[in-house]
Amino acid sequence: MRISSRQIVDNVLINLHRNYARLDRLQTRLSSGKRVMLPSDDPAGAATATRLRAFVLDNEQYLKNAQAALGWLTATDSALQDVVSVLHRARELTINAARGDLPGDAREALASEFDQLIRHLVQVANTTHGGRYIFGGTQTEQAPYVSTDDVDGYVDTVTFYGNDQEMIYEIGPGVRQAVSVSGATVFDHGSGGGSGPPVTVATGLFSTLITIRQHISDGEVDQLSGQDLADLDQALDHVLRTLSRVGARQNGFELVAERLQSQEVNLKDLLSKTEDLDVAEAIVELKMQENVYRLALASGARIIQPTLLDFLR
Amino acid sequence: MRSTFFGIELARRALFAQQRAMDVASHNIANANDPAYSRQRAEMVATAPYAPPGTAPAGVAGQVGTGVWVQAIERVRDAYLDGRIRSQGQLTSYWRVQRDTFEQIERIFNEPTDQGIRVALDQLWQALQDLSVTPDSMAVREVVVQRGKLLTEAVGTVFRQLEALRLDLDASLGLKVERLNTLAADLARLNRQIAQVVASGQRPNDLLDRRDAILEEMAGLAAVQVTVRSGEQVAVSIGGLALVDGEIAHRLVMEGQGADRVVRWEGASGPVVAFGGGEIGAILEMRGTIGSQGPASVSGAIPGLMRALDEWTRALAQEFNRVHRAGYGLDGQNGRGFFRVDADQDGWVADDLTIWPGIMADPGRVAAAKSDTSIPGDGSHALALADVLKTVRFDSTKQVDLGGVTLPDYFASLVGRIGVQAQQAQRMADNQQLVLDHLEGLRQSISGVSLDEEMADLIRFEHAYGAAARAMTAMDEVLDTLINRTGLVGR
Repeated sequence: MRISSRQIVDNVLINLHRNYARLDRLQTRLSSGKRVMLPSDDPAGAATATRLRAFVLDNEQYLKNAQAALGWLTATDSALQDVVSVLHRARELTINAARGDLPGDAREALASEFDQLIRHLVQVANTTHGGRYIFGGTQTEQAPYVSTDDVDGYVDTVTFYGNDQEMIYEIGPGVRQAVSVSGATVFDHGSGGGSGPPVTVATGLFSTLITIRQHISDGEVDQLSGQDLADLDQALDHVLRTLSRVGARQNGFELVAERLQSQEVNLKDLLSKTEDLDVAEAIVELKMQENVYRLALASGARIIQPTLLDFLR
Repeated sequence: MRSTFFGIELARRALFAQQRAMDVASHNIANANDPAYSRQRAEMVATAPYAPPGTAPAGVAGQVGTGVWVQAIERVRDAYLDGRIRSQGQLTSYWRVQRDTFEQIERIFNEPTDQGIRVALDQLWQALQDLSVTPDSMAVREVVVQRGKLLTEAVGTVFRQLEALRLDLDASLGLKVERLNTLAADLARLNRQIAQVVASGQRPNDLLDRRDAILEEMAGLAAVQVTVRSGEQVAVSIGGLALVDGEIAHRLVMEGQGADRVVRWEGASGPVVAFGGGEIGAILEMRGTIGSQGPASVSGAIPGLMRALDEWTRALAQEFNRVHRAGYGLDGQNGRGFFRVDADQDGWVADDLTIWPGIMADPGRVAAAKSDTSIPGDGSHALALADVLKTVRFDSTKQVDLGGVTLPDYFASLVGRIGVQAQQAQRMADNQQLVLDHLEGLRQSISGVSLDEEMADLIRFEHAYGAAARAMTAMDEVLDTLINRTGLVGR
C-alpha cells in the first residue's frame, strides 16, 4: 500500500487523540472515584445505583422512625413504672387506713397523702415526651387529664381531653405499627374522649382512687379492706399488663432497628460495589494506558521526522 | 528525410516535458499539507512518430520517435471512495450530533447523583415520614413545604434546561442551513468555472479538489445525492429536490419562530426540506417539534423527554393533591391542594409547578391528619401522602396513567432510556469515526502526497532534464562539426 506523507501524520494524530481520550476517561474516573458518572457509562449499573441509593435513604428514614418510636416507648415505659409505684403506695395507705382504731387526725393525714398520690398520678398521666403529651392519643398539645377539687380541697373529678387514637409509624416498606398507648387504655376508663367533647372520667383507675380517698376520709373500714383493695389489685394488674405490652413493643422496635442498621451496611456496600471504582484496577489500567500513550508519542516522533530530504546529498 | 535540426527539436521537447513534470512535482510538494488536495501527475506521452504511415519511403528504418510531450496533468483520485466517504461522513456527523446532544441531556438530568430530581423526591418522602412521626411540629411541617418546593424547582430546572437546549440546537440549525446555502452558491460558481476549463480541453484539477471538498462538507450537513454530469459538472439534490444543478443554486430558508422553525425551499410556499440525515437532520430530529397542543402534539427526542417529564410531574401533582385534599391541616380544614398546577395555555405543567401560597405561608395547612378531631398528633395521613411518592402505582384508575408503575420506577426508566440512547449514540459515533478514518486513510493512500515520492520524482526529472540538455549539446556539437569544420580540407 502506498503511504502518503499526510497519512502518517494523520494516523499518528488519530492514535494520539484516541489514547489521550482514554487517559482522560480513566483520569476522570480516578479523580471522582466513581465508575458510573453518567447513565451512558453503564445504563444497567446506573439504574441499580439509583435504586440502591433510594433504598439507603429509605432505610435511614425507617431507622429514624424506629428510633423515634423507641424514644416514645421508653417515655411511656417509665411513666407506667411511675403508675405502678403510685399504686403500690396507694395499696399501703389503703391497708393502713383499713384499721378501725385510727384516730381522726391520722385518718385525715392518710386521706391527704392519698390525695397527693392522685395528684401525682394526674401529673404522670400528663407526661410529655419532646413536648408532646404521651397519653392523650393524637391530642398531643393539650394536657389530657385535668382534675378539679371539691370544697375540702380534695380531687373529686378528673376530666379527659384526649382521644384513643394511636400514632402509627412506618418502619419498613408498608410496615406500619402503632407506637402510642392512649390514656384510655392505660387508666382503663373507656374511650369517652374519642372524637367528642372532653369527658369526666367515671370509671377505671382515677375513679377507683377517688372513691378510696373518700372511703379513707369517711372511715369506711369494711369497704377499704374489702372491695377497695380488690379494685386496687385489679388496677395494678391492668397496668402491669399494659407495661408488659409496651415492653414487648419496645423489643419489637429494637429488633427492627438492629435489622435496619445491619441492612444499611449491606446496602451501602452494594451501592459502592455498583458505582464505585475498583481503584487498584483503574490505576493499573491508567499505568498501562500511559505507557501506550508514551509509545505512541515516541514512535510518532521517530516516524514523522525523517524524509528522503535528510539523506539527499 | 529528417531535418537537420530534428535532434534539437527532440531535445527541446524533452526539456519542456521534464520541466513541466518538475513543476507538477513542485505543485504537489507545495500542497502536501492541504487535506483536500489530490496529488497530480504529468502524463508524459511519446509524440506522434515520424513519418506517418504510407508516406515513408521504402527501405528507410522507421518509424522514428519524435520525442515526448505532457499530454495531460491528471488528478489521482478514486471517485468510488469519494462517494463512500460522503455517505459515511453523513452518518458520522449525524451520530456525532446525537452523541453530543445526549451527553448534554444526561448532564441536565444529572442522575445518578445527590442533586437530581430523584433525590428531591426521596427527600420529600423523608420529610413526610418525619411529619408522620411528629405531625405537631411546625419545624417538621416547614421542612415538608421546603422539600416540596425543592422538588418543584428541580423539575422546573430540568424542564427549562431541556427547552434551552432546544433553542441552542435551533440557533446552530440556522447557522448550518446558512452554511449549506453558501456551499451551494460556491458549488454553482465552481461548476461554471469547471465547465469553462473543460471546454478549453484542459483539466481543472485544483477546482475539482475544491469541488469535492465542498461536496464532502455538504454531505456532513445533510444526506445529499450527488450526480456527475458531462463536463465534470455536478448536481446535488436533497430529498429528491435539486439544491444545485449546474450553475443554478437553490436556497433554503428558515420559517417560523423560536425553537419551532422549519426549513423550506425558497419560493412561494416551498415544501419542507427532507434532510434525511447529516448534522442538520440530526439536529432536527433531536430538536423535534412541539405543536400548538403542547405536550399532546410533540415529536422528536427532546420534546419526547419533555413530555415524559411533564406526564410524570402531572401524575405526581394530581395524585398528591387528591390525597392531600382528603386530609386535614392543623386548623381542622380539609380540601386543600399542595402543589399548584398552573396549566396555562401551553399545556405544560412541569415548568410552572409551585406550592400553593397558602401552604407556603402557613405550613400548618399541610394535611397530615386523617380527621379534624385527631389533630394535631395524627400523622397517619402523612403516610398516605408519602405512599404517593413511593408505592402508589399509576394505572388507569389514576388521573394520569403512567402504565401501572410507581413514580420512582417511571423516572428511573426514563433516565435508563436516556442512558441507553446516549450509549448507543456514543458507540455509533465512535464506530462511524473509525470507518471514516479508515476510508480517509485509503484515500490518502491513493491521493495523498508522499514527499519521498516527489523527491524521487524530482531527482528523476532533474536527471532526465540534464540528459536532454546533454543530448542537445551533443546535437549542437554535431552541427558545429557539420557547419564549421566541414569543407575545410586542405585549407
